[in-house]
Amino acid sequence: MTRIGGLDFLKNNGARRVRNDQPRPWLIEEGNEVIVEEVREELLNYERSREHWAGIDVLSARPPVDWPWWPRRFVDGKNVGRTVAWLQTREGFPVPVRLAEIGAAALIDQAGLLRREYEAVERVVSLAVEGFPWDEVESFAAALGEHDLRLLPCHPSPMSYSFEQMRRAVQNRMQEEMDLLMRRALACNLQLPTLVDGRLEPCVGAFDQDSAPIVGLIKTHARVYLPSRELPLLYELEPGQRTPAFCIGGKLPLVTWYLRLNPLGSELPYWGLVRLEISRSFYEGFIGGDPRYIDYLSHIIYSYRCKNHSYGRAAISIYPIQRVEETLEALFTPNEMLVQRFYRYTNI
Amino acid sequence: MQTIDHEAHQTADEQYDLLEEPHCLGLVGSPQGQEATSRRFFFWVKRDALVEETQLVYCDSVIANRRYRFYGIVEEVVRRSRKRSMDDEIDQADGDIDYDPPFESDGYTYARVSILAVEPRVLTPPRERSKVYLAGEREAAIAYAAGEIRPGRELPIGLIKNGGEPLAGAGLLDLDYLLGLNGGHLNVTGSTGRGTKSSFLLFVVWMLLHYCRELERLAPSQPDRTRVVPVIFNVKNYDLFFIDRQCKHFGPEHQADWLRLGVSDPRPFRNVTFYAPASKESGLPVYTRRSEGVIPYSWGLQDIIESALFRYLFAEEDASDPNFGALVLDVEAFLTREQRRADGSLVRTLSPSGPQTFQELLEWVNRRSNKRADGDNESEGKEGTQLSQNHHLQTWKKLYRRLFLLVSESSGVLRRHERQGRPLDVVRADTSDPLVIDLFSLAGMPEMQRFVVATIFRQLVEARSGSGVVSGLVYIVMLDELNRFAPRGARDPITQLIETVAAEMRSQGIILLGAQQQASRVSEKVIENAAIKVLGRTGSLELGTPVWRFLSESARERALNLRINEKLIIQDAFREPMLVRVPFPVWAMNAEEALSSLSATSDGQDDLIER
Repeated sequence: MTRIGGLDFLKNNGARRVRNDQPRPWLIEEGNEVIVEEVREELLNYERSREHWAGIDVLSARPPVDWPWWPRRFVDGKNVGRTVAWLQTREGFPVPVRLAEIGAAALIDQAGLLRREYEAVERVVSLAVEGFPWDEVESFAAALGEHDLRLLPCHPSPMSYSFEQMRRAVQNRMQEEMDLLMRRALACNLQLPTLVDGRLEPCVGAFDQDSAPIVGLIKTHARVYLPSRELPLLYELEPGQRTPAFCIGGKLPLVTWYLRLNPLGSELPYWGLVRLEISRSFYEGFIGGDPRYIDYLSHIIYSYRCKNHSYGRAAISIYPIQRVEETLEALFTPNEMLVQRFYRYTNI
Repeated sequence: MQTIDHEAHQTADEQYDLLEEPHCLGLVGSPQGQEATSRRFFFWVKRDALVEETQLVYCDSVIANRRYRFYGIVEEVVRRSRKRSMDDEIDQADGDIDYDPPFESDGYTYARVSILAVEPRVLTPPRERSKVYLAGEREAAIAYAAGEIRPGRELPIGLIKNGGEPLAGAGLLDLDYLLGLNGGHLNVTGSTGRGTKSSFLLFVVWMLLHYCRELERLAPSQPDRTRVVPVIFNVKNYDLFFIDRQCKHFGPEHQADWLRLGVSDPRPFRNVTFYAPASKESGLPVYTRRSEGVIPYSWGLQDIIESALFRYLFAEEDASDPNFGALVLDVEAFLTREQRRADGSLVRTLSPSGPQTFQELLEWVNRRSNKRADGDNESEGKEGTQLSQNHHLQTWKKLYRRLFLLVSESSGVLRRHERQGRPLDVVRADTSDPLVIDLFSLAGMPEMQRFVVATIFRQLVEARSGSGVVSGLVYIVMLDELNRFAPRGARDPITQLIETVAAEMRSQGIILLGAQQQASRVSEKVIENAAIKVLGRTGSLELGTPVWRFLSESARERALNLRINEKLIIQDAFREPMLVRVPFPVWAMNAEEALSSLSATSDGQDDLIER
């Protein structure tokens, strides 16, 4: 069968290289915090009424050794890539091409030793394919496959030929694919209490929200859910203190709270704060809404806090997640090497 | 020739290569800063695997469609935590040593390997992610070039260490390097009092004798089979006068190491001939703590002249004085009569017209030093040998003083009133059991010690240079404290003689097994010409000298921390020194170790009483 275009697809469509635009790692939650409706009063009053909101000390809430909800698995994902080229449709619209490596991994706690339970890494290329003949795109995808690269066709909705919107669309397409890998990592062992780095909503479908003991850990805060009246409390939390739990969520109803891992230093106000979230139906159904669960869990997360000050995100991370990140980093290939190889394959 | 039944004597916990599967230790890694080269590579250690410094390892890599096997020795093992600084280590526990972190350390171990050999030969590094395996005997043999030794020319020199306790079979020396074909001589450096030098040299002598006896047994009529005559100088405490006695510390637990080297029945040396200086009055051997079997040695003037040893009687500073040196040569010529035999060889005899004993010589020199030169009838021998008239009276006086001192102090070694003594004769025609010659009794007379050594070397040089050379015969001369007999920078006749032996005589069958505490203090020629160098535990000062510059840093560090029974063997064919464990000697290394006890005899002297 005669291949139409193959790897020359980009060249045939006038592709040009894009210089290194300083790629930076994409952590799962970064920039993806969904802006939600402001939390309603009744949801804020979930654990305590607003009048009684105060920092809750979790240092003394040491869980029993045989506490069944002790997180034993830790899941994280990684997406490292950049726009490497742009080409033009027949009509002359510029279309960005993004090359990235995405992956997810899970570590399991085996009597104090963190061991890799699952890992998946893929090299992916994404572009908006609407403006190109189907057979040429198929040929390009097949040729990429021979070099262990997978084409992720992007269908921006609504379709736009704004370069920036398309660039964001292919980024999101890759993020979705990385979320898929994370869901697989999460789903491969649902028996053990698991902590996911990031929000739980992208993982919907990978676990049973009524029964699976899954915790999300959010380290960066694109949006603060608390009304301004409660914000001083957030900033005044001492290390080892948490806010009362409250509810958020759209398609996945969640119970969430803030926990300070490290004291506020000369950093931004949210530095040292993490947000934890669990499925509301699990909490209310399986746990019976017992706030000790939240205290114990907070205590554990606090005790796992990262103490390696040489690690850039130490103030908002926990050691097991740092190890997952390091594991993924070790599995990845230097991005510029991939880019140069891609240029050679595609002859652009 | 040497059959070594390794496996019969291995214990399962010591020898990994008895395992059915190769024992994988980890994978090659070559990140920035730890790149693999054609000389070394790094590998990370798999969990639960034990990797030790000095372990032998190998890995396979496919490069350019060809499979290569790299053999190496673990130079260093490194353990690293995930913490990037000690600050992080402390912070994790908040300075509390009792703090129990929620997770175990995720540290890891990696090792640096120095490449010893590659098969097929190639000068390239192994590829990252190559699996690294623990080497066994077969791989150890390849790593240390055993395959390059001509069949039948292997000499087991010890058991190759494969980590702290495990072993990897016999380390083999190439006899073509030791006994003269491709190189010769063996030199040991090591700190004193550590059993480092003498016991190892004796072990080499023992193994050589064992080798030759086996050759003799298997091919007695082979004309050019290797034969050895060990000549051993005793320089400390008559220690070597007991090498024919069983060591009382030798036990069954030591037997296994010998077995691994193919020696099923190690015994002390046998039929050893012991020589000690003659005493002044009786001519009997000086007291050596042995009650029997010691032969006295001494020289009369006739022996000295016949063996052309006169010049070796004088100290370095005298010999290097041109006036004095010329007079000594002149007197020697005056005392010597040379005749040519029918076969063309020269025979030297003491001229009958001159002094016949040392006493007469002293008197003659005394007269010469007190006479005016003109009208001197004694300047001409009967055969017309003319003494030069140019020697200054003061030079004669100096000669008299030196001779007087020498003859007076040398106890019975130089016979004052006798023409002949009982000179050492170490020339043999076939493999001989060791000849032990005492120098310790002459400890207060360094000139005499050096004279005895020179005498032996001269005798060997003549025996190996003349017409009656025995094919395949090799004289093995074992001499400790080489820094005394051939010190660095010295130009005296004895140093020159030893240098000549080291540089030129190996091909003629004189092999020097030398030892010293500091090679840096021994003649460069002697050290450089030793094809095999051995390091026992050695001080950092010595290892920092240029002599050892060729060693890798890790080998130097290893030499600092060797155990008593460990040696580093350095041979041209080895890319890194071979670390071996030397079997415990079955013979006594001193009187106290001998299976005999000391008791005071009625005359108050110690003597040996057999149990």
